[in-house]
Amino acid sequence: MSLVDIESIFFVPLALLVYWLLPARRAAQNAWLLACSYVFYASWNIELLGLLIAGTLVDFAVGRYLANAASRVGPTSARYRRLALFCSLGLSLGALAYFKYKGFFSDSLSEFLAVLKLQSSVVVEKALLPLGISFYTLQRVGYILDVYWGRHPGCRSLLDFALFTSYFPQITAGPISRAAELLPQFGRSRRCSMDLLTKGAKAFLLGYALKAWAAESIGQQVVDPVFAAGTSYDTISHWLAIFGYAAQVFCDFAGYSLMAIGLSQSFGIALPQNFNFPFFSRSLPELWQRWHISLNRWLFDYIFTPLTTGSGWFRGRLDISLLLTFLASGLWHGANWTFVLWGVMQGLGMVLQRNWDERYRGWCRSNRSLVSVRRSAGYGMAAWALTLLFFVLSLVPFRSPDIHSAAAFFSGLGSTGGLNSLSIGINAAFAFAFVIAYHLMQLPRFMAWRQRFAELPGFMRGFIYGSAVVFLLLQAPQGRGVFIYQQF
Amino acid sequence: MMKSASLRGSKSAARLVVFLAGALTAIALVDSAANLTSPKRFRREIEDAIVDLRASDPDILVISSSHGRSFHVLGQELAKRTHGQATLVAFPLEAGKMRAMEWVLRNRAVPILDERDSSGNRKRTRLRQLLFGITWWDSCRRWGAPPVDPNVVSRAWTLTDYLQDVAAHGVNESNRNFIRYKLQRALRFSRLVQSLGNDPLQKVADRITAISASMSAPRLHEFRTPFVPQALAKWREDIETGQSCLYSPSELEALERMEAFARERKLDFTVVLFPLMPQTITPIGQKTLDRFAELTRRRGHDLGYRVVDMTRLPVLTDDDFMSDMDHVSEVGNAKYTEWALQHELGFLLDTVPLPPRAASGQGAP
Repeated sequence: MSLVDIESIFFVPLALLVYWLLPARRAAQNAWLLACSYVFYASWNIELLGLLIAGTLVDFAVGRYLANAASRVGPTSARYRRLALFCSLGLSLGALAYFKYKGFFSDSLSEFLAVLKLQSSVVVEKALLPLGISFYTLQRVGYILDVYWGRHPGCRSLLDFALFTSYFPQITAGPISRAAELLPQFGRSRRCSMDLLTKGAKAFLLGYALKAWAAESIGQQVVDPVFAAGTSYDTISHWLAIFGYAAQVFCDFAGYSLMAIGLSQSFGIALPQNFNFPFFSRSLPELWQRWHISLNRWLFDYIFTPLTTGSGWFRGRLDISLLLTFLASGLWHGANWTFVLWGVMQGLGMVLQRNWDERYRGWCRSNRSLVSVRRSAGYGMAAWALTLLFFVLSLVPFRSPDIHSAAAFFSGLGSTGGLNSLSIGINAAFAFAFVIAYHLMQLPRFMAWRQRFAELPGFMRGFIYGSAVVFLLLQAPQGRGVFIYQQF
Repeated sequence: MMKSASLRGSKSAARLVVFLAGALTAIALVDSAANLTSPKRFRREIEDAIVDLRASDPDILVISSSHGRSFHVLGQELAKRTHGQATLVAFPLEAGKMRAMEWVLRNRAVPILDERDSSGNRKRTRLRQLLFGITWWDSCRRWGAPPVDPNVVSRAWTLTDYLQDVAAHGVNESNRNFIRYKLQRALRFSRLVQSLGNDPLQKVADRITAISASMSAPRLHEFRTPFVPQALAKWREDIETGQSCLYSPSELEALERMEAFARERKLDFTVVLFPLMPQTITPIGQKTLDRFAELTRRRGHDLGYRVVDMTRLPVLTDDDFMSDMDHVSEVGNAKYTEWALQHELGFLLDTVPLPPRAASGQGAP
């Protein structure tokens, strides 16, 4: 079950109703949320709930040990702390590697041996990927590292920690939270207010519109046909499909994140922002601060920064560290060479951008007029267009099932592969318009419109929201969708 | 302090009520308008057949795809003509497929047929006829058979079936059909709920395209092939390309189980090939239908059961079918019933000994 599935119509209201009817005590509220979270997880696969619980128990124990041992000094204590850290990381990342990458590594080994004309006798069956494993593993690893580095005192309550690792609004697809963000909230009781509920409901509805309507409509009508039969479509269709895919991924993931944030807000718990209008970005670093913010924050906090500021070989080597960070990002997204390629493209893009910025700064020192060039609208537009184009093109391997298909799609972008033209359904056209309008409404010049809407009489605003619900009920495709980020 | 907080609380509650009233007004207005412009029709489903079967001891049982709704009309006429002596219960399974229909027989109908009273005697003893109402489509699996048919999940599963499946496989796209359908059925008064995800925007756009195309069609006709609406073209193509998948293994096995069931219970077994809309059948499509009829007839001949081919019924014209080009309309059902009881399915009147008046005449007064 996910928040867009029909079971949520029963599950979410029941979870909210009981939650707010319970006495406003931390333990009761957390126990109910934990029960809901385990039911939510078990509804997908009851057997793999055991894996989630086992990981939670191990990391809680390791976290307690690391926190308690932090005050002791001496090489033995440090050695045991390191050992405990490696045990926890080994188990968490080992489980992730086993479930997610086992097939990828064995397939790659077989292909490599085949190139060498050697035969591989290793046949590895691919395991069912536990729901949300990529998300909850990073959240737990982040917690353990924070406790090890002394950034967090360690959680004392098993109930709070279990909820931290399995909180149902975010377990499927994040946002990936830090211990310092969530655990203090779980540590106190929450009180219901209309403000919480209405803000939460608004975010949930907007997220639903993006996820269930816009993403699904664009995916089904614009993206899937061309990616399924690329060679028969012409160049314009290829471009439409890849721009459509950028919109689809954004709506799919930003939409679900908003739903999670909105639902969590209705429980009185704030989750971190995950998307901040990434299509406005004028550089790749800016884009990665606006797109899947919680993952990129994690990658930079726990991979890039320790590498570049640690005492090892990588210290100060920004380019190679950027490449490694984005390679990790690619692998995190999926066990496939297409994701590796995507990660390498992003890493190289970041390296290129960093070096360009550094060089440009150098030029600016000798020629001050270049500063105003950089601040000009023309430079901004060019930077925006290049950033967007690079990001959209990098989505070709991201969407393609294999490298060959990605190469074929790239060639379709450049030359006429086929004669068919994609005819975009009216629903997808509306969805595109909605995504653009959603971005434009954030611009300062449209603030007055938003203000005017907020000042409308309550009945009128309700009527407009009701009409939006009707529109979504009729236009959102039912029961055929895929959830892109749930697969990661 | 407390007073001002509670005042604030009641003010925001009042604002929320006004807001919700606005939202509900919008939803209710659209729903009412939709109900007025396209009034909902009652569609007989498996659950209705189960209610009828529980309340009766039928002489004739029909297992069929959605065309079973026409058999229900036929059953009503049969009851009228036999003064209530002959009872027919039709199980119409939307979207058909032989394996799915056989599942309904085995899991929904048979347990009721085999019910016993407190003294251990069977409650229902009159069943003589088993009719299997199909079209070529019900025997065909172009892309293989899924582990469980979605129409079985939605329209034939009980809550127990659903919970067992969830316990075994978790909530998934397949068993989700159960909840989706139950919700739609529970809210059947709402046209809006019945139209979830129907994409009316596209329908309006298609209608405009079709109108403009049909307006330009006469001119095109002079140079090109006649204009064929998209839905009709799709039906034609489906039938024309259907030869390759007739009697797919899973469906043949289901038919074999149906035949075995009829044999074991000593029931008179009849396979009825249901009428299709004439204009959906092209000369190439006719070959598919001929092949299907031939295969079915040969099987019936070898195993000793009746096969009634009503695919092209002279009495039914294109106007007697609904706009979906598949199901017979109300007027068409009356024509079909009249024809069937006079000709191919006339034997149903002999299922029970008729009172003299009804046996001699065509219809009861």
